Amino acid sequence: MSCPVGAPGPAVLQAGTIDHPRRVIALWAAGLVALAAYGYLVSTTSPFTWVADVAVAAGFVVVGAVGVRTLENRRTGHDRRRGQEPGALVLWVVSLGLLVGWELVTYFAGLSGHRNAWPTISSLTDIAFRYPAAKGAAVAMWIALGLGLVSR
Amino acid sequence: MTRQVVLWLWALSAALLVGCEVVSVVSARRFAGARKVLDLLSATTGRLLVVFLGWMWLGWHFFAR
Repeated sequence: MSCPVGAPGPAVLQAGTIDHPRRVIALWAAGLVALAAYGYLVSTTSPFTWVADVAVAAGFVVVGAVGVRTLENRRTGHDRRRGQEPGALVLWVVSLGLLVGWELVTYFAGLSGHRNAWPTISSLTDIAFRYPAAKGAAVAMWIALGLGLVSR
Repeated sequence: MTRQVVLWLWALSAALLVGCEVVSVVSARRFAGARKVLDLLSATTGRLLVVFLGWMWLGWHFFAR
């Protein structure tokens, strides 16, 4: 059996399937480098400065743009929402509830000047973020979480 | 003394979250994993907007203010 003139032969099809993963890997690599660079950039800023405000706001813009594209895809019918039985989520609800509850307990217990004895998440991260690597990693995880949330 | 107890309870809280994902994997996803939770949180436009605002607040609170 012969191929029609102009139709892609097996070699072309094979090359196409090989090329696609390479492009995906390259895009992922570029994304990770950009994420690391952004994390480093934000880690060099000090809170309560306009530089920190602008650097964090830049993250809002990028993730917000991805979110807008997701909403457009949903409007045009490319949405892929999936259901989940409520019982399957019980562990997460309990664990997150305990986390939020404990944050509230430590926050109010430390209000009367006993913050050192009752550290909240913020007071613990303030200590950790004295190390730029820890702050940069946290920024990268924050952006990754945002992209994960708005791109589904 | 109090600080040590509080820190241990923070560690336990973090371990519980990791445990949720482990249970999900071990139970062959009978319990939801983190991916499913994210799906649920962003399933509708309204939820997506609320979650996006919450995510913005996190970044602003921890890295800018």
